[in-house]
Amino acid sequence: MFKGILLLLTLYMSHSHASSVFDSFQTHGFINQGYFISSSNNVYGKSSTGNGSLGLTEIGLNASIRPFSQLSFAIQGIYRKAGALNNDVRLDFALLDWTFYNTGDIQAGIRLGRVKNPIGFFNETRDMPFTRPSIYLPHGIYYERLRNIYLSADGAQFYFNQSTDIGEFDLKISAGQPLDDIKELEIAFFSFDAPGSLEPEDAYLAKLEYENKSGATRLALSYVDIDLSYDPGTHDLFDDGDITIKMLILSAQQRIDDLTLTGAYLRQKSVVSNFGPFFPNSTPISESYYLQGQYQLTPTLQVGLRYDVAYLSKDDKDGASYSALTGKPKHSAFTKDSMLSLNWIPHNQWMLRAEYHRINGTSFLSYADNPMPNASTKNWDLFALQLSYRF
Amino acid sequence: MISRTFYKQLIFIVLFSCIKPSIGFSAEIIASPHVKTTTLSLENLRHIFFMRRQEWPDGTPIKIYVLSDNNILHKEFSKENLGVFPYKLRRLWDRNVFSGTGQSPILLKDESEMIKVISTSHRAIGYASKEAISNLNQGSVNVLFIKDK
Repeated sequence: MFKGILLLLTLYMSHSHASSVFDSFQTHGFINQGYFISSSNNVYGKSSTGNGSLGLTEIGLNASIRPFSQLSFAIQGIYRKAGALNNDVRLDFALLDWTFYNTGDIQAGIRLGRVKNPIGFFNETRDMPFTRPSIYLPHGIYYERLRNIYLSADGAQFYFNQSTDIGEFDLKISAGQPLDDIKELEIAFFSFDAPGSLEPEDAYLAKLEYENKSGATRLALSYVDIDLSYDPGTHDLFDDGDITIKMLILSAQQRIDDLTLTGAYLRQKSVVSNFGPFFPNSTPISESYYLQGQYQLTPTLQVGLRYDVAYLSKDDKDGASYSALTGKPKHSAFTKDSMLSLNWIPHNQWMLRAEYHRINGTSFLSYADNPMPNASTKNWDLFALQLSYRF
Repeated sequence: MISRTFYKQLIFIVLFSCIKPSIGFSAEIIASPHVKTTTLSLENLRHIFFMRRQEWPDGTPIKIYVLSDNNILHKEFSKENLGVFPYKLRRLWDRNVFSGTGQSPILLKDESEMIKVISTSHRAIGYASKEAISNLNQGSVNVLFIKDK
């Protein structure tokens, strides 16, 4: 795919005025360093021991070019070090965008290649520190163990934008194959590292977003349908089972002068079937919501409050059944997080964030940083700092 | 009980999202002297700065310049000329750039750099204050007339 784009570009450049092609060339990026210290439980490295952890580093670089008014290419690479979870460079998106219909008020088109998955307000730019509302995204809606499936998919996206008298409507429909490194999800699902491997098959996503004319009101409805299949290993207890995850997310935001209120609600159904006698069929329903308020104290300083709740199963909110089934503590089945944050942007390219979280539950923690769930603590505190630069 | 100020603010927000931009303290829209276009509809202007349109009405590619989010002239341009809060533009451009779905205008340092870049390039659009433009030689930039409808 990527080679194809390069070839097309080279061909085009050799047949036209190079200056007009490069005229539309743009490059942007960001650098982000986080610091985490917690009373217990690890976040992005060994945050609960010694002087905390500098275990979150993110560097992004992208480029885009529009050789014709209907056609553009965009590519982004991200280096991410996140505790024991990631330490790699990935191709975040690489796509060809063809706007086949454009009246100014209406655009319709298709994107081909590796495309970001449209989920909620923040997923498509979740690794860009300036576009997310906190250092740590709300745990339930942007569930960390589903992170790799959420990021992007190789496939196609159809889009339709319409500008009307009451604001803009923006529809995206995607189909593709998500990134396949989903070890975290596999361990979360089986409660241990099973001999086989869980692989994503297809993902279908749709998001409809509305924004009023001034930009103060935003609403979004996202639907996600992802199929996973299990490829059993040797001497495996499980058969080649399937999981279908379907979720619906409703997001809303309202700004009133210096106050911004943002919230979302998620309902997720996971259909688990054909894993054999050791893993009976089930259809747990997960639920999550958050409400965040941000207030602009001065033009450069913002204070924020957030309450965020996530339940792996809405019918087992205290985690009793989960604990009986898996032998893990009850608090592994939920997270309730109260956050207080400060956000300082002294210059439009620099940002410093500080966050304090009071957390009850551990359902979002990574196994890579917390290999022994039974050693986890139910009630804990997390303090995080983040310095970010953009260009 | 929710205060009266809250309702006032809410009413303001609702009204703000309906009213047409006023002409009062707005910035002037300027283009390169080579650009043949002299008049743009308000709709067209919004499409251009929302990155929905990548060409001038005659089909030539367009290059878009802005000042930083906190610049007073940028704030005026955003609210008065386009009728949107500056954060709407920032959100739109950031989403374009960092999700691979579009591009953003090119950021310039200040008004004098804006005038310099617009007057010396071929396909550019930007904005400047009336005062700054009145101090320029005739024809160094093309001041566009923006039609409300």
